[in-house]
Amino acid sequence: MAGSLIKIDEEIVSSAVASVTLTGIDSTYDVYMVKYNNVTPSVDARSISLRVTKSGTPDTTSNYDYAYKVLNSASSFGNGAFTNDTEWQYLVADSVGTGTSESANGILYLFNFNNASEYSFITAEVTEINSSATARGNQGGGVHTVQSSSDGVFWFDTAGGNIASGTFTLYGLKK
Amino acid sequence: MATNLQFLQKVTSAGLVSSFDMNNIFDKGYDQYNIYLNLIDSSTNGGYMGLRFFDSSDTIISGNEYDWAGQQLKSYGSFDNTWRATSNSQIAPIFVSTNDDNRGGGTLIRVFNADDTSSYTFITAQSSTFMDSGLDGTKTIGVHKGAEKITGVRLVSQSNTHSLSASIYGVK
Amino acid sequence: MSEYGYIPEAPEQSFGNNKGIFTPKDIYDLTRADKYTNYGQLELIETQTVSNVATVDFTTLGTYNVHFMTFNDIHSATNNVLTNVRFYENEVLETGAVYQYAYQYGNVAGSFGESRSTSNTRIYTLMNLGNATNETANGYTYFYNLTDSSKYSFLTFHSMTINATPNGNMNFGSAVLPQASTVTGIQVLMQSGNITSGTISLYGIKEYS
Repeated sequence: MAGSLIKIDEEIVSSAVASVTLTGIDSTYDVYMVKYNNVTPSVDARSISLRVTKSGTPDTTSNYDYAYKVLNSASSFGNGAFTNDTEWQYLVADSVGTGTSESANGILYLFNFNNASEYSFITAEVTEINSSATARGNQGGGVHTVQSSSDGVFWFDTAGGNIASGTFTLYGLKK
Repeated sequence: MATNLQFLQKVTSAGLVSSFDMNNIFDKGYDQYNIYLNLIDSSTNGGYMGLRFFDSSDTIISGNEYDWAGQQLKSYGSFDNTWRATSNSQIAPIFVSTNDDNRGGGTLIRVFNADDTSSYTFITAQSSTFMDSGLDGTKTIGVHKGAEKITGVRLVSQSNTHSLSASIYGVK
Repeated sequence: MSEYGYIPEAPEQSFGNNKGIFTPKDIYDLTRADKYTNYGQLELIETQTVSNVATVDFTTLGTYNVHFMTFNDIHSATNNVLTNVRFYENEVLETGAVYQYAYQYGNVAGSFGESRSTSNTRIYTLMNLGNATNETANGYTYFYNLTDSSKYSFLTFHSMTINATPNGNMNFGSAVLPQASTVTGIQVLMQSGNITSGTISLYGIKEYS
């Protein structure tokens, strides 16, 4: 029996870039998975944000909602909740440091992206070292509340910095 | 055509053990490994399991080099949100509160960057187990704060012993 | 006569341990015997795309120790209900108040909390959803030990939905059917009412000894 986790796109950042786009989401699959490793910003204590792309272009409208539980090794656990944001700003890589080996890693599942009649949903499971050099990880999800199909995900620093490093991989799950 | 969740090996404990070693399961060319842990039995009710790594010399890393945080989800009471530590000797909990009636349990551990000599090694873990009080689940994150290659995993039982099997996969 | 290039006999072949020279027929025969190393161990068992049904049953589970299920674009006829799971044990649906679950939830408006039960008639998995347009449930579940008659059946899950407010809702959690039994089927249903539409896929995670 053939396997069902199919790699679609991969971007490896070894020198700083302004953004990363994973493309290739279409009607072939309903559910997609994103794996990301060693994602670091160029500026300390920055969050790497996520947007959906429509025909390859990041959607910058104020339609990103998200909620997450913060598992924090150094202090009490917290909660994050946002509505009508212009991106999923803190969900997938939250205040990551630029110190030695400080990075964000995680798994996202993407749902309904290709469906032009539905919103685009994600779940997020993150493990990172933040700018305080301690471990934390957001566990939650987000929704882009626009009824249209999305064909990719776009990673960037909302505050205008770069992504210094990281490996970003997109997979489809056979249906 | 090969696809991208790739079975590597299965490791089974020699009965009930206080430490379950999975040596040389990494360094296979993946930046993420999945470990599906099958809890077979426990010596007594209760306890929990922590995780340490083996370094590139297959030496256990037992120093205070781990940060971690986990939520214990309970069917029988308020959740425990106090599982956290920095500069600790292990990552915990991988699972919590098992039973001695051979009833089982399951855990997924995702390991990021184990093969990378210049990165820390990160994990997420999610589990479901059962003790006489009821269901226990965990959602845990952790990191080994040493920039070095990691080659294996030791699962350490606290206050009891466990029999386990683990199936290890690379995500290509 | 050589076997896989060895004379007289080749070593025993198995997944991850193929030695020799293989013709296309050798590869075909070994693949059919599940002895050739073909990577890709997330194996699709079945996908069901449904419309206006009370329940969705998956009754082919294979012999996997770990199963994985995805839920995409689940719509509910009834407002503000959760997506549930329960099991068939030896082809008999378990409807008793025997399931246990625990999950952390949070919505985008800032309401967070815990939900739990030690005696429910089904497992609440995906967070509650509304029944208006675009109010859908999406998520995944891992299942452990379903086919092991000596073990309980365990789950972990994680979801993102739109509830009846409508607000985005996330949850993650664990569950168990605390009965040592062979689970022969998984039933998906809403807390009440029909599943209006949706796609659910079941996979097995294949392993080798």
